[in-house]
Amino acid sequence: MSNDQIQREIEGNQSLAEINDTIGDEELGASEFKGSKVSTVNNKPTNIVTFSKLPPGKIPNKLTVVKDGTAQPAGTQKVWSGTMVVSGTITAVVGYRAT
Amino acid sequence: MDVNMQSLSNHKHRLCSGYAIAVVVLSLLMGCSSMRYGGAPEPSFDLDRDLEQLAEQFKPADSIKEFYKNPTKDSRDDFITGRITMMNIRYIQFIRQVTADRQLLDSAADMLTLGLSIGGASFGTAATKTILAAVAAGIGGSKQIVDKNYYFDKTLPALVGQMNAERKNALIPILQGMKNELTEYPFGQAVTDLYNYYHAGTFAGAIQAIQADAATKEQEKDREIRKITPLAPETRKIKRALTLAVGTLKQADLEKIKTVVRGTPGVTPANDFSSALNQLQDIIRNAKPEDIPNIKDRFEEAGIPVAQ
Repeated sequence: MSNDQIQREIEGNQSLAEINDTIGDEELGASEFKGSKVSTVNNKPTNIVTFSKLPPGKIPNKLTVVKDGTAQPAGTQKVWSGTMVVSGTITAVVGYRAT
Repeated sequence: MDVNMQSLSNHKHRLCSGYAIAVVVLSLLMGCSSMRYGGAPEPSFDLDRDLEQLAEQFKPADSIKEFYKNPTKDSRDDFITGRITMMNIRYIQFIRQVTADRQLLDSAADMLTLGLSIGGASFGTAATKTILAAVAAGIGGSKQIVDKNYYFDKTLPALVGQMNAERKNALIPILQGMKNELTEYPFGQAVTDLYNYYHAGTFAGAIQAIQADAATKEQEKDREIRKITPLAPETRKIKRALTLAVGTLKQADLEKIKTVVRGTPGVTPANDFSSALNQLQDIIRNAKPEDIPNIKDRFEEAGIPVAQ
């Protein structure tokens, strides 16, 4: 991981709505969601999320993570897809960012 | 200055120089003695002589050639015991030359005692047992003459401590192997394990182990990833406002930025605008939710407006 990136853990018990809020709140510190991977911490599956640092003062456009197969939100572009632990279940998800 | 005064001055200078040299030489002599004997009187027993006697007992078994004359589990175990004992004694001699730390000597001596116990089991003659007991007592005695009141270097004890720990680790497969038959713990494997045991007692081995340990710790540190959860609505508003406020700052605001950064423990404000601005953003980025209102207060106290 480079110095321009940070990692955070979003526990697998969060719902999709909570995950979206959590990512959005992290991005308010001039960080941008880059991806997530399922990992195990203390024998529990969890999400290790990577953000890149943006220039000071910059907040990225809103990111929305939806379950794979859900319609793409209007005015967004796909920026990531993968799996996350959502409400305790490993789930295929897609990330769309507002344009 | 007249001639007499010059002469007196030179005499004083020579006296001072001579005194200084004498102090240095005396210190060196005392220092050598302290280093060799761990800041204590020379021991009453002769470890080198003990080693010679042990070598006479263990030398036949310490030979690979000897093992192949009669390749059995017993001869393998005799070989292992002989080699471990010789390594242990030489190791103690080695660390006595480089460090005077009592705990380090204790640990090394414990290893030798363990090795000698194996030897006692394998080499059953009365003569051998007597020598082993004598050396064990001598080593035990050597522990007691060493005390804390001597020089010791900060790095060397760390290295020797690592060596002691690594030697203990390296001994485990050997001890486990000796419980097995020759087919399950072949002689070749024993030789390899013994080499590892030897290597663990070297500075190079210790440094390698420290480096590996450091790498592991670095990975563990990487694993210490902060958990994040949704912010309370009010905290969310403040965080957004803080980052937006950072976006408005200009070169002229450097002192204001430094004032805020200065209030963060362990962070020294940078003197250039760009670095200081990054520090300010990092404070927001890494803030725990409960600290965010406090950061807002610091912004405002420093004269940076935070519009919500």
